[in-house]
Amino acid sequence: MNYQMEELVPIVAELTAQYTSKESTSVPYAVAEQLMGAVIYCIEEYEQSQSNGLFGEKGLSAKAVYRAGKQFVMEKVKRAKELYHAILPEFHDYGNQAYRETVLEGMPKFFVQYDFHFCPQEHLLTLDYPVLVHFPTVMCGIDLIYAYLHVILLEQKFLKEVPEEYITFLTSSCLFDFTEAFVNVPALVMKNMLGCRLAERKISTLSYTKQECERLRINIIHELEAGTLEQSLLQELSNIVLCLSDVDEEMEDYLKLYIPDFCAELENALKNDCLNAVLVL
Amino acid sequence: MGNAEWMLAVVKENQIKALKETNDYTEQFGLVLTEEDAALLVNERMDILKKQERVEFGEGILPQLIQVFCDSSYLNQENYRDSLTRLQEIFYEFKTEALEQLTDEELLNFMREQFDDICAGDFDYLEGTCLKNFAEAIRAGYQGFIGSCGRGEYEHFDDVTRWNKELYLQVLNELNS
Repeated sequence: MNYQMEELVPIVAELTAQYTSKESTSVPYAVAEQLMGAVIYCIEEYEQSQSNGLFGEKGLSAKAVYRAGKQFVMEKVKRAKELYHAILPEFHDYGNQAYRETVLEGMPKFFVQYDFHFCPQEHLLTLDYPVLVHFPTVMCGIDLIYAYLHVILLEQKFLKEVPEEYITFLTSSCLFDFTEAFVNVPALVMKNMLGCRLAERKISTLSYTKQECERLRINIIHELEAGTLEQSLLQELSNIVLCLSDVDEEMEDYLKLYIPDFCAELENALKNDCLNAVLVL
Repeated sequence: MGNAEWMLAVVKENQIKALKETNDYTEQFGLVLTEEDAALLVNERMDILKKQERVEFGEGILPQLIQVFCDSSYLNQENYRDSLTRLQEIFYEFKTEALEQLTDEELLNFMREQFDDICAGDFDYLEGTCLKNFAEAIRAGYQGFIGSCGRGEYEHFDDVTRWNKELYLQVLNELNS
């Protein structure tokens, strides 16, 4: 942000007068910080759009940039609502409480309570359901919610491509309580599909045979010793994705984010002889 | 002088000017602020705001405060500046104590009413009893002041048995008759 405090203070002063409906000449530090945060958020929203090549005007005053940025925030809220409405009709939580509560209960509350005028930087929700992407800590407000909804849409598209009986089999066969766990559903599905590939068996709801378990263990060891586990899993993921009909590059890139963690889980499970804690065998 | 310092100096100058302009109204009550008084009040304001962790834009509450209190019989030219300092301090303190529930007008009305009536010009009583009780009630959820604009409120929280003026006059009449 390229504006000095002297340029921002008058904007905050005006916003404060609106916040108090001109009924108070002073506000506590916390409110002043919140309102300054609101101004900075909108200015940064505008500057971000400039760097995306959406808006080319330079030399604007801080006030003009703030107003333009606030407009962008409002438009992003509208786009987020559209995204949410695209997710809703066929949204499936597969029995996971965190998934359901975050998307079906939390998001509507966000859209009702989000204050784009006085507190656009506050995203209100804890977003308990874990997604595969680690959003930067500086990401907040509608930016975070929009990005989160975007990956939820990708997840739902992927899950729709997988037979529901397979997902149900996995969620009911986990060693942990899937209903109450904070677990990413596509990750659970994907790692079991990849496990089947590593074990050189068909993806099915049948339990692993003894030979398949042994083959799985040996193949993981070989890949780890050769330092090729991650690469192999990435390739297998691409192969799986090719077989699904409505999968695009963005979705594949999203799913690939899980692979490093999956490699670490497999290595650890092998060391501790508990592959059944990672995969449904 | 950097931009920020220049801005602060200009703001301070404007505030002093605004305070001196109140003399046009208050001199009819024998109350006048000198340049020195106004500068002191402006400095006090900065200190109090910092202490109460508040931010104020514009000319601040002082002109309004002066407008509300200048015709109080407990203010005179001798105590004018110090009274304003004290009132300003109490005002910001109780804006915070009442959890921002009171508008400036509601708080000023309450303060003026109690200052003249129950407190008889005593700042300590205003701060330590009337406003303390009122703020406590607001924190507990009381909202009656919204309709009354801060007027006639204290009787709901007064925990002291006071003279009932009408009863006193009635008994006095009976004794005299």
